[in-house]
Amino acid sequence: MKQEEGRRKKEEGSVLPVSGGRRLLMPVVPCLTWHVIAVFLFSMFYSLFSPLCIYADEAAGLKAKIAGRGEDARSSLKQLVQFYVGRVDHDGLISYLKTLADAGYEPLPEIYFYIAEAQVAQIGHWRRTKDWESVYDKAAGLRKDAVSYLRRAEEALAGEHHALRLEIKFLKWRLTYEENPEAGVGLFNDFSNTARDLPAEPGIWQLLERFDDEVAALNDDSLLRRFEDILLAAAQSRSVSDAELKASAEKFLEKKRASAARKLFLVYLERQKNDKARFVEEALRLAGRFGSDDSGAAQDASFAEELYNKASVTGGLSVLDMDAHYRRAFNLERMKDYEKAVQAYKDFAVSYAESPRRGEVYFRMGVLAAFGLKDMAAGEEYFSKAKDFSKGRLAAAALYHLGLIHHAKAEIDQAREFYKAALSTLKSGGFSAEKEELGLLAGERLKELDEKKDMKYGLRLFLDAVLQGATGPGGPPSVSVTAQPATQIVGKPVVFRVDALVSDTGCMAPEYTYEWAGMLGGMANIPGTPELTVEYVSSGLHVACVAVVGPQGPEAVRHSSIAGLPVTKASPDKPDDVSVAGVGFEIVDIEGAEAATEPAPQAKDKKADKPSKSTAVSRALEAFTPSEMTTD
Amino acid sequence: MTKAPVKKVHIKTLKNNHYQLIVDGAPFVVRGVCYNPVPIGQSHDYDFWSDANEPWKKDGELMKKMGVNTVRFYQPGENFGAVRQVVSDMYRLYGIRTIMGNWLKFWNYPAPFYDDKDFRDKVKAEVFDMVRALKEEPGILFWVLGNENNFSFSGKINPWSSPRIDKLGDPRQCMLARAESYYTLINEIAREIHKIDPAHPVAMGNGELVCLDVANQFAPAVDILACIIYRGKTFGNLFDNLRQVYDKPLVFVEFGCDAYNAARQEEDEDDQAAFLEWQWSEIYRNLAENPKGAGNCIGGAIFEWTDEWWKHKDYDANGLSVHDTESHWSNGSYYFDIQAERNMNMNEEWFGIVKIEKASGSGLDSRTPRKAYYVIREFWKHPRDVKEDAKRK
Repeated sequence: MKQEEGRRKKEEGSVLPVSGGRRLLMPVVPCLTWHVIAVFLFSMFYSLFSPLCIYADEAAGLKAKIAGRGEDARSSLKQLVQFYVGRVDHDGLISYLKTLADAGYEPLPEIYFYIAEAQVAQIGHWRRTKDWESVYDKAAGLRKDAVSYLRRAEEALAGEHHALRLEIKFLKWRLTYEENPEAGVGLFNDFSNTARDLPAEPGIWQLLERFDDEVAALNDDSLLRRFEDILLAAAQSRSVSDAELKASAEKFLEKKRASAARKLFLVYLERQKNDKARFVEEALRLAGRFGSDDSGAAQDASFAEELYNKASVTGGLSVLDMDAHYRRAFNLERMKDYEKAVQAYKDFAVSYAESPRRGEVYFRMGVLAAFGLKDMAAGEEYFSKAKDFSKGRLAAAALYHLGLIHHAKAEIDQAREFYKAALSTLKSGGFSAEKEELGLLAGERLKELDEKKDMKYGLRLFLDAVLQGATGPGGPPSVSVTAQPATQIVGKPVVFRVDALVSDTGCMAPEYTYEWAGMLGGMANIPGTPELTVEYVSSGLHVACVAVVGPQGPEAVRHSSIAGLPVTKASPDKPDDVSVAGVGFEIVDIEGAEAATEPAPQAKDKKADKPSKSTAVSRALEAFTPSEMTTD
Repeated sequence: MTKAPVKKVHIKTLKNNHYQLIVDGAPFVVRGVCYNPVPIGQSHDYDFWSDANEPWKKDGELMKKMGVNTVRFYQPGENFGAVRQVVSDMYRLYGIRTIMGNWLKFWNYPAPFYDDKDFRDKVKAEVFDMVRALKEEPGILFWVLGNENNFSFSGKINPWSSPRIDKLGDPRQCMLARAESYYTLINEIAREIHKIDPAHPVAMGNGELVCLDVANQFAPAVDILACIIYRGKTFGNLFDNLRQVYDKPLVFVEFGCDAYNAARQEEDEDDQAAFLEWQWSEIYRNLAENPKGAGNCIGGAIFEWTDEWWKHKDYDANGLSVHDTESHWSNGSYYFDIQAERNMNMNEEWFGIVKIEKASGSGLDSRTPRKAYYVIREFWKHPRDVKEDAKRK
């Protein structure tokens, strides 16, 4: 009953307004308007459905070409496969290809391969869309079917289809690998051998690049390394042009695949050997790309150094311009190769004696020599030069570190003088010694001297170990501190991380404590943590130090046996006989606007004092005039 | 028409001291799921047994396809007629048996006073009513008494005590006294059930192996230990340890892995599936007749069948329709997302091997099996030793 009523109402509603409306409108609307409406409606229809029409037309056109078996049949087939895969119509593709296969269409190997490929793509699609029912209920059958088609493709393959042969081998391995990676090893070897034995042929390199993307997506590092070797072999075969090789290597570098990039760039560089200038230019460019950037992060710092070395061996040290000189030294510093870093910084200072960066460079040398090479005399010499070639905070920092060296050696009077000089340098630079970390540290040291107290616990442990440089039985662990980033702006966090490598404890990690000291932006020492996050409020170079204190063990640099100074406990709960397992330090460069202190006008011009590293050298070169060579 | 007589379900001790659950004369491995399918928008007070949508029929079908042979209920409803119907439907239509649990008034307010005679009598009466009402149902597999009630002994969860216990003073002595009181109650109930219903074993639901040394002394009448275990991928030394502490057949009545990665903050079907496969692999290694294991396991029930959207802030009515991603507790054994903020990585609302979504039109939420559903389905068809496989690789 209700249904009948509803239908009647619907019919009434549809008849009256339409017929009545039409009768009213017709006399007043010109015929032209109806044309416009018709055109509009047609265009709406076309815009909505034309893509489908075009697709259908395109597919039909391609199919006609394939059926025509003309010269473009093969490329049409490829296009049609892409067309279907792009629309995720795997069923449609498989069905069409099977029709061709059943009809005995040539080239059959391609048809069989494309069927298998479509089946694999179908399984991949199910996985991506989490269609688990299909993955677990249908994939096994489809995979088996695909293996059978690949076998048929291989059997039907004529000798010259190298690319297709490679594709078949790769897909066969992929199919097995997905099911059982272990069982796929043999097939990977088969693929690898096929790839290596292939004669140079256009398109193979692009194919390998595509495979590489697929292998990379599997997150299997050892497999990826093996695949890189295949790429390397192909690159060495010279079937790849220089441009292709370079572009590929660049792509790997972009993708942070340093290992693959390094291998390909080495082949590429080898090819440039006959053109010395080009070789050097490219080597230096690549060294910059692989080496430590401003943040201290590197794609492959040691490869960068290898490239700097290659460039300078080929063209002499003079091929390194000021920028390259500095970057090489900085790269070595980040690699913790202090000896070479000091030498590289020295080369820079000698080669560019008029650079405004000399102060910074000497300061870095001072830190590396004193704390890294444990050569206090050299450290003292470099800090002295840093003081001479800089002003403001940097000069004060150099003076403070000179004070520390003398303090550690129990040369109390000299230490006191340097601390005082650091304070007065700060003041004369317009900085508040009460607000500046450096001023507070120098004041703290002076107070310790005045009150005949031992140095702050963590700093004392650090300097003791540096001074003694002793190694216990079994050797001390290798301690390294890494700041991330190494260049930061004021008020932003820098994370210091300690890595202590111990060789003689097996898998048992000793329970170390970490005594942090140095310039920590006022951050309190948290002894239990190997990681410290610091936010600096003033710009300039900052040196953070850590003493890694071990359980009583083989490390044994004993705090109680220091050179000459009265040893007092830092606090009742701090033992006066501890073993320092090792020490580490890191230099960070803080840039940007001041947060806590207001520097004097002359110190505000930070660019003149120390340019930011990112454009430091070029800016220095542009801005440098002899009159800027000022000293305190 | 009279119902077919219920055949005895019992534990058989083999010559090698392995334990086997025998059902209708044949060995039976519990391939179970915890079944508490609270619909989206409802809370723990949802009356599953009277749900006109009959969710057990949709679920039973899916469970049967997966190979599930047992469901575990935590507590029957008050209407035993409705409960009997569900148990019967599950068994008759899908061949799925029921482990029927009872909370033993653990979540009653005020706290459960297991040391109080009146309270104990009330608990017993409730359990015996349940057994009498359901024992004739052919689908009943066994009874489970309690669920992690032992975690209350230390007073950290749902604390209870008595003047007698408080007098002891020493916290450890108090804890042991509570354990003794509780396990004695369990023993009394188990003995009485054996009289009322000799056809079905009695299991005790215990969180981890906590206080089982006390149970060993005071609850010998229990037939099966039903453990609730969240140890990540592996159960570790649990099987061997149990042989030393409380040598009873073991069934897991809760174990599993959530399907939410709290570190990456996204659904994670892969890790859930992988962890569950490892766990099942260990269960199978420790079944009777497997020389590699302890031979004391009789199966398990995965926690759980569907997600339960009500669990996070169940007091907030709006939250009942939200699939919350805030984690509830921390467990480092589930290492894949332990790097989540504050190490909070366990998501109570995401333990289902079947996810639910509000379905338009139908009163029943839609069910979509997660990857784990299929992985465990395949595992049950072709059990393998995942650990051995991993070693070979």
